[in-house]
Amino acid sequence: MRTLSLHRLSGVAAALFVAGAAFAAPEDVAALKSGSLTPYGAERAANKEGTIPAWDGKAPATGGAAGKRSDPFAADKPRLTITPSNAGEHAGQLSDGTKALLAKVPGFKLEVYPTRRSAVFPQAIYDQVLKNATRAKLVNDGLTVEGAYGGIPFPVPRNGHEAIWNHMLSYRGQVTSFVADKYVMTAAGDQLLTSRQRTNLIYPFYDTAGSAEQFNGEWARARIDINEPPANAGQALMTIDYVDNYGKPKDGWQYLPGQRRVRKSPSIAYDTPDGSAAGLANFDDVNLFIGSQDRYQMKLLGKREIFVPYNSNGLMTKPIKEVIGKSSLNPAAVRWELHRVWVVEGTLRDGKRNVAAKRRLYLDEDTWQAVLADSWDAQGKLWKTGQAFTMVAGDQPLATTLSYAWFDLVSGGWVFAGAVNETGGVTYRPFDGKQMNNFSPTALASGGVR
Amino acid sequence: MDKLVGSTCRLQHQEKQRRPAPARSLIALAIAALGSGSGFAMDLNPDGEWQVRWDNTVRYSAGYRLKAPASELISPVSVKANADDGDRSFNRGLVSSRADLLSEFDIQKDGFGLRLSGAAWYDQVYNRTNDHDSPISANRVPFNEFSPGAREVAGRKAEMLDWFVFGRNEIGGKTLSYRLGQHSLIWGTSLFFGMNGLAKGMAPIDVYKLNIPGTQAKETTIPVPQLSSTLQLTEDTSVEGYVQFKYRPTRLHPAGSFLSSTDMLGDGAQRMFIGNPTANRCGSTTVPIAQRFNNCFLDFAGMDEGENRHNFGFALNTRSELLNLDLGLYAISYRDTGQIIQTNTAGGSYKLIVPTEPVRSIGVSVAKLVGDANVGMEVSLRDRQPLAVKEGVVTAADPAYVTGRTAHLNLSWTLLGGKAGFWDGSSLVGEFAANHVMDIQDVRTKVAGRYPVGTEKVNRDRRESSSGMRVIFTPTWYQVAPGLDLNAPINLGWSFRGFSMIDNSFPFGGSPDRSGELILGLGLVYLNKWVANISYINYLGKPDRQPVLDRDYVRLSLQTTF
Repeated sequence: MRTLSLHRLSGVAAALFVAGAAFAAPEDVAALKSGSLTPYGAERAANKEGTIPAWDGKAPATGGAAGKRSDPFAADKPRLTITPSNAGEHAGQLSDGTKALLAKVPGFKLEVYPTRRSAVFPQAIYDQVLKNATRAKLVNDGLTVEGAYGGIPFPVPRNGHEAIWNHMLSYRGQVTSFVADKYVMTAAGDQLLTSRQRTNLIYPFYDTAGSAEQFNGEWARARIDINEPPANAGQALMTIDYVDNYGKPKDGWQYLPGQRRVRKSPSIAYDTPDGSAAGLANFDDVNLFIGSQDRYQMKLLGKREIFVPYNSNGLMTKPIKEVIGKSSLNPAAVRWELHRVWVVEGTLRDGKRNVAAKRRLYLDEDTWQAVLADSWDAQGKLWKTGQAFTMVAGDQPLATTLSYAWFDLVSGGWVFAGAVNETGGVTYRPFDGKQMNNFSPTALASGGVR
Repeated sequence: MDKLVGSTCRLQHQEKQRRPAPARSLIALAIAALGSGSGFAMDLNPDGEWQVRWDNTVRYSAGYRLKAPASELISPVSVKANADDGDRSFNRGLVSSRADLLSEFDIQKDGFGLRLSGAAWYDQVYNRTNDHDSPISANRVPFNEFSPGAREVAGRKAEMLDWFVFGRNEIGGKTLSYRLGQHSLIWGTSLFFGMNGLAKGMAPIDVYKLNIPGTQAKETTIPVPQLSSTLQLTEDTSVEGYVQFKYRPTRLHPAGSFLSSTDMLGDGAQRMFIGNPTANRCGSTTVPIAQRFNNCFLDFAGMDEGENRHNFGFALNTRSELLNLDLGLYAISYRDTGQIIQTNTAGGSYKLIVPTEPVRSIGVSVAKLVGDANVGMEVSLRDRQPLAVKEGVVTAADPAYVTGRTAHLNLSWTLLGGKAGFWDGSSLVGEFAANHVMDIQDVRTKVAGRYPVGTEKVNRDRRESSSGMRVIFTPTWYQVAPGLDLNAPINLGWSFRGFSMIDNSFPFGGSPDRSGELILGLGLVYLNKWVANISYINYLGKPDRQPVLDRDYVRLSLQTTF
């Protein structure tokens, strides 16, 4: 693995296991302040070859009606096409999963566009990230974040758990709403719309009126109302996520049509298969990885420059028939770029089980969100590969993954989830404490009419 | 957080009552038909401000009885005359061949809206003669046809389910939401044994539909005209209340239908035998005096609802951060959804009376994650719970019945599992339920007759404590063929202690004792749209403890929603 020498990587090996309080080193804070790092913790400078430009902090214009943000880079032309025939020349900049798709899926290729570092966030978040650098810490062997608020907690991560917490707690808006579809493509080539759901998310962690001192540890509430398939219309689900994976597992409730009653859910996490993904994705595969880290020891392998899907506004605004190809997404619809990513490898902790015995996650340095993921089965065989697609919302500003896909390299089936192509766009609103009432078990019951 | 956990909840309910069959219109279907002729699914206004949905579920199902009636369950006729029609109506062979339609229509904007839903069905088997072979013990005439009431409920009917308006307002930072019209509402954590908990006092159950494969909770909970409201105080705390405007009884297996075990109850009930079955009506002056009040039959004279009293209830729901659990406190008042048989031997009739005094119940529920399982516990106490009475002691001249103070426990769990063993995923759902009579408010007969004056009315042959459970384990296999998912539920219901004094359908119909049922199923889901299921239902126990022991059957269904 080609590892870039970032100035703090020397500390990584020493901090693989999290030994409680250890804040960012003074030189890291200085780097954030001086600007050698971006305010979000990414390397600001261009790479040596000039194929990754410097970050300029300017949000692109993404005008578009009703939350449908247009592609600000639609005029770009591909600078490179990677096919099975020239994949070998680029092997050092491809993830294992991407290589496997090139080798296995007929017609799969990467249209590589100029890298655009479009991830820009509000100044208020940058301010909190700087504060987090000197106040956030992990306890309980990486399972609990303490002291963080209002931004990614570890702008200069020293271990895999810190990096994964950045992925989990990365900024995705304060109150976010969208309707998303899930498509399952069977090995026989059938395309099924298996689910359409209205998702509402609220992030108390990003309440600009709050503070680290007042934060109660509940970082997100999600409410999902199912519209399709019609047999499930009216079902609803609500969850609460905590920054303490050690003491507080995710809470969940479900609404039962007909009884107009809410029941507490069993744990819908880890490798419990998501039935609407036909078993191709498990509950912890949402956004390539979600949930508790208690099953895995997360190891930070360092940074690499690799080709990842990026600036995917175009993918999200095209009609779905132009996006979904026969055995993968239509290569013409997917924009790949070269980016620096943090590579984190999760291996099962002693005594823990998960159907994915090993996972590797590739976190974009500019958003901290996973953009590629590979999973290996218990026999050590590369089994699934995931791709997440980043939407740029210049109006906020923010950049966040939204749609994602998982490819089963064994069965050939795949799933495309979080698709907003046919359902409208994403709406962002500022945090409003009164909104919290809509994210409660009671609201599920009183809001459900079926 | 990506997918709702699918778990179809089924509530068993009380089996000692009937309901008249109110003629329901086809309004829902008519309105739905106005919407669109395309027959295509159904977010009617996907991008508009109004959310409009119209969904239809169609289903075909069939049942096939595997064994002919067992003689020990239908004879001697003198003992089994009031309990043999469901058994005798069907030889080995088809017991159901049924088409169902469920139509649902919602329209809403900004939290205000209207919902209509309706159901219609036709079962060929109930629209023809049946296999009954014992004219003398048939509680109906003609003996080998289903009575009109049974034919309607089991054989062909259309009815409205929901019709209500709803809305929501913000009042001083609190959210008030409300519904007015016919709808369902259930509190507490009960899963399969709702009749043992608060659910019983809030919503009657369509017991017959519970046994139609593929039926969902929204079809088996009978909606009631009511006003219900929730005031949300904080994101974790709310108070709720409701008042119901109409009494609706539980819908039993219609008299003489396949799984019915009492011939004089349920829709279509016509007669009840006193002593040996004969063709003589009790009290008739044309028969010998020795047969006028015994060895005769009573005609069913309908249900007497008595004075109308509203059901109502209050609840407080909150979440304890400290204990990491959901807590509910409840107080409800209701008229029992079951009825009591009141005989009038001299007049040759019997009727069903709705208990006049409301049952008052208080309860507490907790729900908590224990490991990866959701565990729910509901404990409730009832005052004036009607108890089992001896046959014939509740009469028109002496209508008093026995009540008691009772305690009820429901403990349920749901656990989802990942890939393990040789399946891709699994669920384990179960519930244990128990109840106990703490105190009997005894009443004695005041009128001489078949029992001497002063005889206590409570049926002491029945037990003061009962318990039962149901456990369903469902392994699932995804994509066994392109587009095809497979599941194989194993469902065991067991009565540890039956013959309940509180409820003669607890834990299951007929209140079996140390008996139960084992259901082995195989389900197929094709293209996430077509759902097929085949199940083998095997009743377990001994003939004297399990009234439906000889009714093993296979059922299948095919359904889709569009």
